[in-house]
Amino acid sequence: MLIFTRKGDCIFHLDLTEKLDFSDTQKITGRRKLVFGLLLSLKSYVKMLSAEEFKCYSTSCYKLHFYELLTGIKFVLISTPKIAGDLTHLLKNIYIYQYIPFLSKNIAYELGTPIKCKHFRDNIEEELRQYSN
Amino acid sequence: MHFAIFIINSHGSLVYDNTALSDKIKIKSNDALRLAGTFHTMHSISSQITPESAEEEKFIAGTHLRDGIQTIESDSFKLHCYQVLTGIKFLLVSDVSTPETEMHHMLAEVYQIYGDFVSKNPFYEQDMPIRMTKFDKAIEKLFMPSYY
Repeated sequence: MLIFTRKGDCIFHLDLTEKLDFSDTQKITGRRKLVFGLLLSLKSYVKMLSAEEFKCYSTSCYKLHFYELLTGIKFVLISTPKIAGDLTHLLKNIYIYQYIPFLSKNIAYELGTPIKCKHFRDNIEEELRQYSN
Repeated sequence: MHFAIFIINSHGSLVYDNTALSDKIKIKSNDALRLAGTFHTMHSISSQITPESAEEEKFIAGTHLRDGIQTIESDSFKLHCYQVLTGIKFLLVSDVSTPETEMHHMLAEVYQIYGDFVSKNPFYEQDMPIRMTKFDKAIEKLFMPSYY
């Protein structure tokens, strides 16, 4: 799961598969850039076809769900392709029950900076694990 | 209900588009070209960002690796992509309630028509825009059987 700001900086990156090597910064930043670029073009692509927002896409290997706030903060969730429908409701829940109380209402957190809040990370991890079980 | 159909060649340019399946969406020819190009790039990027864990699973299953976008969903439409081994992509835009299997089936039919009327046509040059009345007719017949 990833969270991006409006400008495309990745402020949160959680890997549940534990296969991603976070010490390889070049690879990680490259991957984040690819995801963000893809989201931007997907958004404009979907806008061209209709007035609605883009929700998710799937390939044979994975499925990507997307939820964007009015402030431009983007929540991205990558899951297995087997999940039916989209998980934007899950991302919405994360925003309402985790992001607002732990970050928006947190005086120590400056908007747009990388998220270091441990509670936030643990809660999200728990929620996502619960969902995948 | 189906809205539009696009065929993109292996280099990412649009070779055929039919947006007249329904009058619900209007796409100008310039926009159609742009849509085809953007889809081609998105397709290749999406295969690049495949998580490594997912890839391993695929490898064990023995199927082909690293596939790009197959479906895009939004509140008002669904887009299905059917890529054949030669790299040609068939895109179908339908409304949300259409089941994926039906879209896949339709695109397989389109591919068959493509094989019959385009690939077997000695006057057709590879990767060039498709302008054949017989092909158009066959597509129309497939998507709007009530007219015939």
